[in-house]
Amino acid sequence: MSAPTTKALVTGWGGTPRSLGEIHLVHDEDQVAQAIREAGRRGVLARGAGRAYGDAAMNAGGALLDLSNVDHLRTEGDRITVGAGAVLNDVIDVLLAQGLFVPVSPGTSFVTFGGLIAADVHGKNHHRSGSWGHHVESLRIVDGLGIPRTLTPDGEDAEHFWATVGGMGLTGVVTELTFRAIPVSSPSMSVTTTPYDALEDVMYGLRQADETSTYSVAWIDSVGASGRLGRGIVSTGEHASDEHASDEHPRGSMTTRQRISVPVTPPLNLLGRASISLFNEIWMRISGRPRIAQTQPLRSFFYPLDGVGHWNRLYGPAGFVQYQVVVPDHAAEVIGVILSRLKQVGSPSFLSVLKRFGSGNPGPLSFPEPGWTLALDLPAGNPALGAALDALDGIVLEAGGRHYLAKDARASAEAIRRGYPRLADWERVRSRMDPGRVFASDLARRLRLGVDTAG
Amino acid sequence: MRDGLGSVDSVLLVGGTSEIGLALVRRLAPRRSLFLMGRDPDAMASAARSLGLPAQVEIVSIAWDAAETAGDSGIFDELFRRNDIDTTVIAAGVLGEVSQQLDEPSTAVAMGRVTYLGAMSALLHSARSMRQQGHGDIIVLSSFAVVRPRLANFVYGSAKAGLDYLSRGLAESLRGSGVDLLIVRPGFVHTRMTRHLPGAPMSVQPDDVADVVVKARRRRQTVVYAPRMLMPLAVAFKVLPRSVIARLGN
Repeated sequence: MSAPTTKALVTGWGGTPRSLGEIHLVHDEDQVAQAIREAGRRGVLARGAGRAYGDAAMNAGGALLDLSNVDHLRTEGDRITVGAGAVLNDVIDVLLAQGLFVPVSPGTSFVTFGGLIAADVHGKNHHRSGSWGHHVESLRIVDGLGIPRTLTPDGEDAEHFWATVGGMGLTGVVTELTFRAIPVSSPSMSVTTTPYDALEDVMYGLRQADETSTYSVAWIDSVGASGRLGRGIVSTGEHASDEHASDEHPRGSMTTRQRISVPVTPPLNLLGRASISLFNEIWMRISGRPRIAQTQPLRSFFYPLDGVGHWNRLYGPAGFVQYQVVVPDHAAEVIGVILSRLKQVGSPSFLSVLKRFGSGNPGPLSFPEPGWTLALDLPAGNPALGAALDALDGIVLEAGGRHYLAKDARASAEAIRRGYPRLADWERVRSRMDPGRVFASDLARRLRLGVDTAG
Repeated sequence: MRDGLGSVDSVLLVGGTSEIGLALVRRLAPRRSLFLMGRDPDAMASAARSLGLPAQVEIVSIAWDAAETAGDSGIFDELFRRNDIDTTVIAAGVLGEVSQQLDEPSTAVAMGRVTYLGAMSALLHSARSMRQQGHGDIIVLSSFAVVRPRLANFVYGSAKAGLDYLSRGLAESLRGSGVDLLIVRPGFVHTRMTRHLPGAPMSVQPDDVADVVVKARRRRQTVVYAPRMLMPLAVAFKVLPRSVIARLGN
């Protein structure tokens, strides 16, 4: 039986751009295979929780597979097998109850496991633990011919595995994965925060944390009132031991509840320069006090914004784009250049996050490479933004850096081709996995992924 | 694909030598391809070259006659089957002269065939294809003449009024389809089409119209006047009695 379908106008998390897709609610691998075999001219794409910022999970005029019912979960010790449609937030509940946690966690828990693979998601521990691709033992995937396969990182199909990790859903539909969870002795974190007055100091603090901390991240002030552009707060964290955690945060109370939510999109952007500037000032004063080894619920450390539902609506109807790039260590100065150029064109970022990356993995489209990664949320309504970002792209690419596809909504095809020198390898593997080019997305159309060279 | 900041890869200009249309294309700055539809491929090609688009932008001229709509299904289906079009600009139209149109009604009908029926065909075919591709936007060049009949151009205005009416309905019908539609009502614009006419107050250049359109598109408006100051005037024209307007001069 065919899965039920509905047409829906979808956007990425940034709210821009939009396109119409036909949503197919599928319940198992057979229905996924059927949807692939029956694909129309505009192709098929799996769409998870819709947290990619740009057009990665959109397929204009084509099919979008909703795997939210493919969310089974099996645990055998620390080996976890989970359906691709399962949401991280739900799985974490189960894992924590067993003294386990995911090896890599993004900045929100409202993502699916399929999405974690498609974007080869990284977390605050990349310098130690790498990205999701490093922790997956096997993937179950349905390829472009509608044939289910099991892929492993070092088996015969290793090339296919690594083309899928970070492959933005264009090599097949992942239906299930098996990974190793990490043991944690409590659902709490021991967190140290250190404020710094200048960007160089923030970077120094983060570099130190490479050696000393499991998790590290910095929040940056991108408005820089009174000449303090780039000041920031470095947070480092360790999983807390049991005795620290038990009094303050009993186990049952950990699930993220959305305490508040933005009910509708306001008619204009509420996160403009003035409001961000004010917020940053308050944030620096409240959170900017140094604190050492303070115990904090795990979720408020990893997912600070998950308590506010639909915070993306605050950007108004024009939406926002996220600019996330990585540059190698020897080009650290590019981070400061990006901040000052965007300040010049009046485009402050409400959320500006700086992190360290360790070694990358064999995925040709995997984003992380050793160095610095900066992520900025930028209101899309600023007409000067496009040209400013195009110019910054040139600087980032010249330095040997690249863009994160899961966040991108506006880079050029040429910029992506330059940033990912192994893109042609990926396209070769993709054309074997999907010879009829069934898998399609708006991102792939915009960036000509798997279009120019695949035979 | 249109990107997160509104930039587009491909533009289709129907009425490929329209000066307002070409000014708009220059502002939209397609990154990959420009398709021009019109009667004279050579004139379109040379007009496109004068836009100064980057060398990698592919320019394709497609022979199309607004007065001969019988083959339009084939032309548009073929184009959209091979390409995603991000923005379609409907700019086909001729003005004609009222006195001649009253003396020789056949010239009025010929004008209507191009300005209304030709544009209608291009608009409906583009809308159908864009609905299938699930994304895109359509910009229809209407006219301030649709606000009320003026002696100088009411025959032309009647064709534009038909197109404008059709576009307003279509904009509603496209809601939720991923395709946006913007109706542009320019006042007096200095172009070849108006060269023989005396200028009018608040007249503008094609580039001014393009600027207004780009801004309106970003705000996802459905109707915009160019210049924007014509909007209050349009409201006044609608509410003032005929005798008052006649005294203001026609």
